[in-house]
Amino acid sequence: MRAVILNGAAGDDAAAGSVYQTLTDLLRQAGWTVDEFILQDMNIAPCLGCFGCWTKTPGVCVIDDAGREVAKAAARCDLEIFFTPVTFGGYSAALKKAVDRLIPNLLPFFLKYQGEVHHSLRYASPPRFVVIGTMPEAEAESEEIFRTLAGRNAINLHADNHAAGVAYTGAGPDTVREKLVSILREGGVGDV
Amino acid sequence: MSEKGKQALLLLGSPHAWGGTSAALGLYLLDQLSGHGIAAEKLAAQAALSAAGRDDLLRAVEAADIIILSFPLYVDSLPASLIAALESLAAAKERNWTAKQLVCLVNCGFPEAEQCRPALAICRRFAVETGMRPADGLAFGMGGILGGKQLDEMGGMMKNARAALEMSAAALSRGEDIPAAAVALMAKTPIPNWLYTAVGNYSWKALAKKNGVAVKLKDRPYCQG
Repeated sequence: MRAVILNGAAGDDAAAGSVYQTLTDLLRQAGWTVDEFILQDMNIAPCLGCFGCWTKTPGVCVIDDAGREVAKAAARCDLEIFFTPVTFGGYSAALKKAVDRLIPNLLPFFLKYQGEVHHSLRYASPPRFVVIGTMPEAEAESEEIFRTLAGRNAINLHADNHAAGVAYTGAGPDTVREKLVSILREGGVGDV
Repeated sequence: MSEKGKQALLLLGSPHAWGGTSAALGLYLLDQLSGHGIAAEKLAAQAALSAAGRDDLLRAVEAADIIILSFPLYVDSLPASLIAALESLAAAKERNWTAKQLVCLVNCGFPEAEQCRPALAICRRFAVETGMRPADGLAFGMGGILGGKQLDEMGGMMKNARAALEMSAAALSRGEDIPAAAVALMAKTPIPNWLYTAVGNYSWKALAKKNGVAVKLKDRPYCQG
């Protein structure tokens, strides 16, 4: 089984890096093949909002850069993980530049889903979807926004199996590990 | 009576430069603020991706009393370029922005303005973390309906949006937050949901046909095997 991680942490963020290392270790120990995208280092242009990926080159972004590779991996995986420092309650710009470029994996057509209008899926089976944030310590409002945002993303991705949570970088390694296991299991990754 | 000498900055978060829905909403608010004697400045977040652009953005924010973020909803949140601009502002040293009001104008392509709620909350959180005063924001569904036009060109269809922005400008000029009545007016859909989605679905097919890819619209280029 294949997991794709979109890592939006900064390269010099050692605390987030430690959490990330624990996350990848957990997945590999459980037998997952892990495709990592360290986004800070990748040349991914911002989405143009042109909808060319729907009406000119269906399913492929018109920008020919690493954003296409991320979308391709996301379309083929069994588990999609967003990893980010919680940034104003949301995702870092590094993660978001890749997330914005995942739009080709949806169809343009509107449909009613969970009582709201959303786009249809291009691919039949959405992967399990997990969003993991890092924060130095607890901060209730940011965490609430973060979980709400991840939940909204799950609706847009039609991901029935999803979970989101925040690991505190100020906590000890055992606490971080327990938190990650808890989030992954809630997201349907039962083998960690 | 409005205060004199105030300045407003419109920070555009759309990649469509000044020809899209986010610009139309932001410029209308800026125009209304000008009517209350508030000077207007505008910048595109994408221009702030360079080091020089970040310096310009910081100078513009330092000079402004009211900062307006106008952007399209991208995957339930702010576009990446706008987040990058906000990250650069949050990293600024020795700031004292307690007197600045932060206003958010967000539009989404879905009919339900409610879907913009996480984006509004993120903007609010940015204001809190940088010491600005969050002045609330307006969310607009059916953003695609403007099709590159200005609000004045849309007649009665955009009368609620115009009224919401006019009410907001008056409140902001008095140093107040966006009124709840303006939030409710802006969230009203200009046309029925079924009509918007039917026209939208037709338009995608028409555009694909025009581009010679009608039969490929549902292709799955990344399917394995």
